[in-house]
Amino acid sequence: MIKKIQIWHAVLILYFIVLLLRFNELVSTIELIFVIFQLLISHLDNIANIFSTNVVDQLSSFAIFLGGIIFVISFRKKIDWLRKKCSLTLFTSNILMFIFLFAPILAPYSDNLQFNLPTAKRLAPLSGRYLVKIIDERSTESSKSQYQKVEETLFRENVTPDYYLLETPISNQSSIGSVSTSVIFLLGTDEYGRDILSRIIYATRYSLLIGVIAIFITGFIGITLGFISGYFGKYVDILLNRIAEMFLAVPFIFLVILCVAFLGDSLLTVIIVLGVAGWMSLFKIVRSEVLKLKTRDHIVTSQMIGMTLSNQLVKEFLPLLLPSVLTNLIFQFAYIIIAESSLSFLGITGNYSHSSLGGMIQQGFLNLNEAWWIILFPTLIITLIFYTVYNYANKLRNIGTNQISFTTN
Amino acid sequence: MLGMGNKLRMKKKWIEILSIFFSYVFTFWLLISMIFILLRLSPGDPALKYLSPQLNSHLYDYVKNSYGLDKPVVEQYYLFIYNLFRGDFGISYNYRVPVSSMIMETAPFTISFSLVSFIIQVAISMWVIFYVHKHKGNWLEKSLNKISLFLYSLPTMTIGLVLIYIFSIQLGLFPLSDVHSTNYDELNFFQKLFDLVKHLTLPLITLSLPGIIIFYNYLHGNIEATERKSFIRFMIANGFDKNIVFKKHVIPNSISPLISILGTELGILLGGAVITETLFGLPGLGRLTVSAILTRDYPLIIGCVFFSGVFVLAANFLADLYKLKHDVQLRENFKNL
Repeated sequence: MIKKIQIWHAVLILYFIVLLLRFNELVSTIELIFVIFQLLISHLDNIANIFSTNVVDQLSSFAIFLGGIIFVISFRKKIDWLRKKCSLTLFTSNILMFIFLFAPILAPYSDNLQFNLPTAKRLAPLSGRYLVKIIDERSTESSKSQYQKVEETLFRENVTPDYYLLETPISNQSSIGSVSTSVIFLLGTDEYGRDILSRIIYATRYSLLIGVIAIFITGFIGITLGFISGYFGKYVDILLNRIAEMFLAVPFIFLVILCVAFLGDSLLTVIIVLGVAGWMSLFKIVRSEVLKLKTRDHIVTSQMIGMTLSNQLVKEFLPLLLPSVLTNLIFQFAYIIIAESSLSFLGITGNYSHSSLGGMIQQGFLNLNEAWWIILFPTLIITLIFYTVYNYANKLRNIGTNQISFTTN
Repeated sequence: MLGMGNKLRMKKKWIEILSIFFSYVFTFWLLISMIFILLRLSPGDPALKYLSPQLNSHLYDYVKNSYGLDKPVVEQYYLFIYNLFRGDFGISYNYRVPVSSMIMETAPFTISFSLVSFIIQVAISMWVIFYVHKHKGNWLEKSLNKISLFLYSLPTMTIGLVLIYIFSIQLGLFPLSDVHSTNYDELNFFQKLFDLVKHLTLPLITLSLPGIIIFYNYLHGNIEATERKSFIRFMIANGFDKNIVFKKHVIPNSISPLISILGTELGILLGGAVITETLFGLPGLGRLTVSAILTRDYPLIIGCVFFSGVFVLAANFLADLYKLKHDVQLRENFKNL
């Protein structure tokens, strides 16, 4: 029974779960779109104020959300890939994809939202509290525009002074003028009263994003240098090989520490450093493959008819290199995510404003005696990411080697 | 005739060794240059990376003179290389002692820690492989094949944290941090040994577990590949004892590629030691580096990175030499057959 689940089934199940859990969020997103249309008609000159990064984030992930459902339902019979058997790896990678794409929809709060500390500090998972909004008579509700109201319910950037988290609901609501709603913290809260679920969702998204950008840098450097080294040979080859040897000699973490020390620990620097620090293995693979391919007939022909070097690389070499390059890059992706979280765990990076998995683990390590949940869930997510990506790369490698052995026999 | 050939071979061997040596010297020079370029690239005055207002005037002048910080760049570069060769890495900001003495204090611990971990990794993975080979298709092999990927996907810090949570905090069996107890000096020899073992068990498990799985997978694949080769099949078909064939022919043939990944493995170990030492509060090179970067102690960072690089380079060099010798021996053996 379970073995017959195909990928599109799994995707639809995940969609269904999201719909069930985050229905309110979706409804208020539709409301937001409606309000924005109204505003666009009435105040066209205010367009820059309306589209803040939050709004764009929310709208784009909502658009992908709707587009995804329509795509999966309408193309499920036409695309073979969607009808593949859904293994555990594919399922977990679907989950990660969901977190990456739909973070604003999935996360109940913003990742830096702090509730009032005495009640919200270190709440255990699944603990429910009451979020009370006190309506002040002086600043009446009606003065707020509809846009502001929707924005308030959607993003909850920071708790405004009239929101309070209480353990019991206020009994006589009408006399004070308050509205209380019950909220549940699925994974609990951390030391500063922030919701762990939201933090994990955003942190996962950031670490995946860092990994993807770093991988592009790694791929660019590795392929270019490997091609140059293998294609030209001689002194260039020796020099580049020695440089790769030198980078290999310094352990990864030490190399990153050195670069971060001198170039600063901003997010961009960390991404670039993580990308640059892992180019050696790709370089070696590409170099040896290019050396082998260089004497093939079609490559020699392409040289003789006067193809430019970059054209040769893209059109003649890359299609043949692709399986091994892709496998290596996906392995690198796994290592980069681990390295990033280890670095922010050590406190070397991760002073940026968003949440990071390693930073959460570090914070949980300091509170290990009192609260196990702060550390447990980020750790699980990191393991899940590494397991998924590594498994994927392993499968890809097996396919690649099978193909190669098939063609040589 | 035979002597001539021997001499020629000896000469060729020396040339090979020399070329390997010079390529390593070149790599070494590149490493120094990279550190120097990074130092110059960094925003702010590079000279101030070696000088700090925390140093007293005597040390300030000493560093300024030895690094030529008021001289042109080329001369600074020359002095930089000269100083690194002398083992003078400058004065640490925080500890106000020469960086080299700080490294000499912490490096022995990290090196012996990594070495013990390496021995444990090799020993346990070899034992598991022998066991699995003896009882093929038993529960251990099946479960190892299934969970090895999962175990491998546990990051070092996760393993450490789980061990700390279960064994130190919940069960209270092992101490949380440090390498020995406070009353270490009063204990007798066996108590000292017991104390050390008690303190280092969890860190060693943390550092060794990923390595064991890597070695196991690597050796397992190699052994299976070797067993499929024709000379092993030939021997077994001729009625040699299977165990003897396994011990004398399969293992030596599948273990030699292991030497070539020794340097890389050492790099992984040093990287893992950074996290392990920080987690368990051990006084090693890794924790020194982390504390150095957290306080922006530039001379100390340069010293630690340089030392780790040199260490791995040296290991790679030895592995290369071993490979050279090993391959020659293999060739000789084949000729004698």
